[in-house]
Amino acid sequence: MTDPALFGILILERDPLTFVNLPGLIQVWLQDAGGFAAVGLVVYLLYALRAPKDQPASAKARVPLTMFMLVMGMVSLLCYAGYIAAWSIGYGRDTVNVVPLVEPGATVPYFPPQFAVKFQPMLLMFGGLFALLGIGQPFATDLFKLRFRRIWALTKVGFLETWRNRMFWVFVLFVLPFLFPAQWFIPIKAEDQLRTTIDWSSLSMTLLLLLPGTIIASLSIPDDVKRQTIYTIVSKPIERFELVLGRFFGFTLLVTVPLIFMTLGTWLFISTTTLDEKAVEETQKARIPHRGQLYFRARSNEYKGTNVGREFDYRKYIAGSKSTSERAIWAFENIPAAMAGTDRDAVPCEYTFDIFRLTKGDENRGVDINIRFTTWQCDQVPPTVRGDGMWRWAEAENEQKYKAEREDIDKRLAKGEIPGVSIKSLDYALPNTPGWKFVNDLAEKYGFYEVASVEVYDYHPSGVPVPAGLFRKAREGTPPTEKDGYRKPRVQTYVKCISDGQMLGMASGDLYYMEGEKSFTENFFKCSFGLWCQVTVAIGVAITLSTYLAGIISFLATLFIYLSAYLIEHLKDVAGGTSTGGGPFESLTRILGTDTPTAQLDRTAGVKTAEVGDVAFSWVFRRYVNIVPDVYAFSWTSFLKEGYNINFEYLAMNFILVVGYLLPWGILSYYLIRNREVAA
Amino acid sequence: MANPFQQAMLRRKIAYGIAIIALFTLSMFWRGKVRLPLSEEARVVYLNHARRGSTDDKPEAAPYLINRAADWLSSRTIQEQARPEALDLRELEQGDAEISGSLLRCVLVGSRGVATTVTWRMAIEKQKRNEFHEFENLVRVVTRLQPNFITPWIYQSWNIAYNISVENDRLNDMYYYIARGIELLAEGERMNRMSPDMRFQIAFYYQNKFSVSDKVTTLRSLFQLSNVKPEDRNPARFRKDGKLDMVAFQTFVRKNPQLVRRLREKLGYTRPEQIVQFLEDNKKVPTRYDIRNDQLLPNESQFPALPPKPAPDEAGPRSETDDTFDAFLAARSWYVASREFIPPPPPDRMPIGFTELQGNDKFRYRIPKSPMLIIFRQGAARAQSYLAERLTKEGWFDRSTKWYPDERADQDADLWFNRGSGDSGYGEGLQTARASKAEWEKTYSLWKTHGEENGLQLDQATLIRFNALAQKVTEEQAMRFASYSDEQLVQIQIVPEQVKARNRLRFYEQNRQVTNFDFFLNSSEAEQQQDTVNARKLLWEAEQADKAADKVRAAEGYAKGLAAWRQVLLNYKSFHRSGSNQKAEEDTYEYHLALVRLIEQSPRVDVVARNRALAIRGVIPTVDDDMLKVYLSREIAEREAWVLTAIADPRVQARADQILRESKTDPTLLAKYPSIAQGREAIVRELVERKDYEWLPEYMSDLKDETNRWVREEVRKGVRERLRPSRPQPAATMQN
Repeated sequence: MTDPALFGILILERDPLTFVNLPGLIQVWLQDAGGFAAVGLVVYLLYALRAPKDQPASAKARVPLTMFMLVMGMVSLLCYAGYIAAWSIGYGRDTVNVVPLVEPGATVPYFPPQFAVKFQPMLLMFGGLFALLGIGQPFATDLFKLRFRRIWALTKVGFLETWRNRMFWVFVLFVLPFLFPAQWFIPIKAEDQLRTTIDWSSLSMTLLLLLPGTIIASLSIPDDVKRQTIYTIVSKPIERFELVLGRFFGFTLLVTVPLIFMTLGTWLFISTTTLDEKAVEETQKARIPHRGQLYFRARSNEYKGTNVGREFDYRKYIAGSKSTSERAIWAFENIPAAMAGTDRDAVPCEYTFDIFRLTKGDENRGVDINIRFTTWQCDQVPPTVRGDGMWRWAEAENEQKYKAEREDIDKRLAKGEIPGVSIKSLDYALPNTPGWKFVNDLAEKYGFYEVASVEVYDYHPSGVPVPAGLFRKAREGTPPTEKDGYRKPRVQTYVKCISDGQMLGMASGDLYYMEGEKSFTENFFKCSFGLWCQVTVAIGVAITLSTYLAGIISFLATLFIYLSAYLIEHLKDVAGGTSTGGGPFESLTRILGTDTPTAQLDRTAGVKTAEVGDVAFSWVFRRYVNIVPDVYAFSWTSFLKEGYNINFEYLAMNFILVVGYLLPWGILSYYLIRNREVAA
Repeated sequence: MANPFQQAMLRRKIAYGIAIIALFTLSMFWRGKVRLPLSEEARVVYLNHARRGSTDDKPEAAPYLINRAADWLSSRTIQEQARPEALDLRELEQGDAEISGSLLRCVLVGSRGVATTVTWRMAIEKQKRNEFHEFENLVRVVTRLQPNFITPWIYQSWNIAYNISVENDRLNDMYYYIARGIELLAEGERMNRMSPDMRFQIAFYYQNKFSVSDKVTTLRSLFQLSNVKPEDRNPARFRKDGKLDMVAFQTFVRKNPQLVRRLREKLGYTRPEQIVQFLEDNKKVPTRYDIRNDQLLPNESQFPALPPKPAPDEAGPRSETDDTFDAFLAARSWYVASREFIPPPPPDRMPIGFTELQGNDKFRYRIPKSPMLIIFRQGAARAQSYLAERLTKEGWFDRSTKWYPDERADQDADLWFNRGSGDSGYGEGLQTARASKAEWEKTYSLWKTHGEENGLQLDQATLIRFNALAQKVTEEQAMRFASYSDEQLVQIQIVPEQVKARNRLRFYEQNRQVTNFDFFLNSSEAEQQQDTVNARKLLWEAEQADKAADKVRAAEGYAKGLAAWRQVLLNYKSFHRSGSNQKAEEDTYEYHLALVRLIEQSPRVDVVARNRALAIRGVIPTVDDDMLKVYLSREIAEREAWVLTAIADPRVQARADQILRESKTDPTLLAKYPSIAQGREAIVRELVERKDYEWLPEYMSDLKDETNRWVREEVRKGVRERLRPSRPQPAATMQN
């Protein structure tokens, strides 16, 4: 048993996006961005078709109209018409990305979108695709006119202009002290030293870069227009979109430089500061966890874990009793080769649980749990009799053989008949000791390993070593696939709570195998990449808006969109009609009638009208939610501060998301700057 | 020569310039930045003091009317009005200024309200998710955004010390968050020096979290660790060459007997290694001392936080502490400090129901939001009661009390000291500087003073006088006319004294009832006596023997202890039956039940019960043997326990001795008491079971009345219910 020292506690409300999610994300992107593009295309086409034929060539060139755009527009509209027809008769609905119906106020788990091949989502996707092709055709054509040399020159101009405007640096210097380790200023719990420092520095860096970056990006083009200095640029033989790109790259470079220095500075402070050993042990590392999917089972098939009524319903609970058949089961579909290597003796299994106490328990005691690890060759079945808490092997004969062999080894150990092994039972075997070899051999032979009882504390992760032989066994052969397409997971981990009168809560991210570990330093710099993505998105949005709006309006609009991103959960609730107290109209009705948010309202005409208003409002809100950036996908602070590795794959996905998000904004900025009257 | 327009412009500029300078200068006077000519500081300060009701010596009067006017105007400038001599409004007068908070508020310009709301909401979300370190940071921001609004300080400190601390199973984590909650409130108190509520709440947290909460044994030990110098408890000191250094360990035990005794007796750390491991596990407990040099930390960095200006005899930030300093002493110090800004008790020492600040008292005092003033005032005495109770429960009775760590050591390997050391044969005996008897004496003194000052203890003559006066006024009238002045009452032909008497009687009863004053005064009066201490000692030793499975010694101890305890109940009748409080009776019955349990387990009772059960089954064959035996065992043991206790009664003992003496000269006694021939013990038993004192097992005297019982039936029932051996398991555990 490993020492019950503290490790990381990561609340994993959503799995990070990986390449597996890419098809689904692309489909959703085409649907969302394409929807906006379709509206834009229709407006554009109507405007272009109504323009007088006898205007000068330069004016015509500003609003190009091609047959391709018309055709794409038509096809796109046909797709949308088809979608509306299918939607009205209920044909070909998306059955993959169905939002679960939940009570108002309940937590809706985030599931990354999956690629759906049904009629409706495919029509939406193609409608969006054609609209994007149509609206993007002039943009794509003009891309070939862009020259890197000119963009680079504009980038340098943008960079140097701001560099010489010392406001940015004053801001940076002003908040610089917040990057220092937090324990220099405030008393912090020993194990939270690094967490708090990372929290503070991350917040400071975000504010330091985001605010001045957005201000500069919002004000730059409007300021140039106002001061008429833009004439000197647009009168040169450049593409107008190059001006936008130049500003974008210039400001991105501008925030990248201090970001690098701040990251280096904070890392230096952390590296040179003496941290408490608990903080180092818990957080100054980068674990590589191998996670599984959690489900709950008991004697009854309907059992899905218990909700104990906590407001934060992230976890489900199992009841504690020796005679309970309730189990939390983690299924691991795949086992990485690194975990089953012949050079490995054991693989740590780490877990963090929440204890919900129904009785006060014993002083200075946690609760006891039993953990069972099985491979796909060693199926377990729940008991059939009420009050029988024992799960058994599906193949009873193997269970008997295992028990007999285990007992035999224990007897020999008790008698001291095995030379070189001093323990009296396999229960006391530890990795890297002679006794562990027997544990490993048994696990590899039967695909089974069990820790009879181990104590856990509330929110204090512990760990047990699991024989690597179990994983070698799990990787043998191919697990069978059942009729419904369900493939057996290679390894399953069963957790049972033994202590009477206690409930043990867990979520999917609360138990994992330690595949390996990387360096904290590397993780620290990776985390900064996420921040860089956030700032880049903000700059992109600000510059796009500033091509049409006044500087301060662009800044406020960007800020509004960006702050909305931090309230996305609530916005989604409003958009999905799952907000406690209803939408804005229903809420207003409640306020006027002094009703509480959960009170049942009388079905009066006023209430019905408010509900209809909310349905319309939520439709608008859903469109707005689609343009809000997913900032949480770029935030890796929780991974860093809890000591979990940030995969390069996650960062690559971040980059793809940034490009995907900014592309429609780029097209918009292309049209806006192109049609802006700037030349004298 | 400038043209007329230019001249007009110049004139305007000059006029504006003069106006600006004049207004600016005027504002300097108005703000008090520049003193008004003809005024004098001493007279201005006096005027401000006088506004607050001060009776300072009056300075020499102003020579002219104009000087008096200048003095008056000077005392009304913004700065003068804000000074502590006047309205006491400056931020610096409220308490310590905090620069980062001020900076934050400045940066937020007009958005403080929005920022506070958002931060508060974020903090709640973090709390829901158990992300406590982030929650704490956000709370810090919230409180700094509005440092002189005391509600967030109290609310969030409570949240940390209570709601968050209990989310931690590991007790050093729990202790950490209790400490953080109290520290947060102490920080708020430093910024709001005149808040009696904050001081009271700090005291209450100390008192409550370390007295009645679950897991209090470990929490008290951790609190004491916080008060021991880090080097003294450094676990490295106790290890030498990988082994335990017994000499260093023994020194630690001698120096900290209260702490070590609790660890050993309550938490079962019987081996020195376990004690050292406890010190190791809790090495980084929040403390008052600098871990680098054992010097006291600055006031604001200490835990336990103590009032910066403590009253005499109370602990403050510069007081040295050791393991005798506990949370109740910290609480007492804060309770005393909390009284600094509340109105003093009524000068006539009569009971009052409510206090409304009048005139200059509005500047001097604050009425606390909660609890009611009479309860607020008794805080120090209550904390002192808790302290004395703790020492009693932990076995530190008086100066002669010694604790023998090795008294129950089974083998030499378990010994902490040499078997031969000490004078008792149990090894070395340890004493502590603080014992319950002295603390009960102080407790009694505090309660008595509190009662006298606040009209909770009126003498008989006063009560008779009030009752006589109150006859003429009904309760309703007294309540209606409570706020009337004497003149108003006379106008409506009511004698003011009669209304006052009725109201005083009402408040007298009300105040005594809500404070449970009688019980605290009577119990402390009884507990401070040597005979009570002796009885407690006997019972405590019986408990220890019981825990050590020494049943014979335990039964004897309980019987003797209960007999001594009964004498205390006889001597202090108001302690035995103190209003609605049943604690003395409950204690008595709990000890009695312990004795019953021991007797019930004896083989003799088992045999008697079995025989009787067999006899009954002979008559009623259908009866369940086992159930009957259990019932009979309990009945026999119950009766035997009462008898054993009565046998140890000094009255019976004295009577037995008298009979023995007289039987030598009076042969009729041999016929009257047949057991004389069997010796003294038999006479004693006969006296209790059949003769002169047959009532004694159940009653205090031969008056066989429910109110005359040692323990009334309703109390017995309550105790039996409370001590019921087990509760049913929660249903949820058996669902699947």
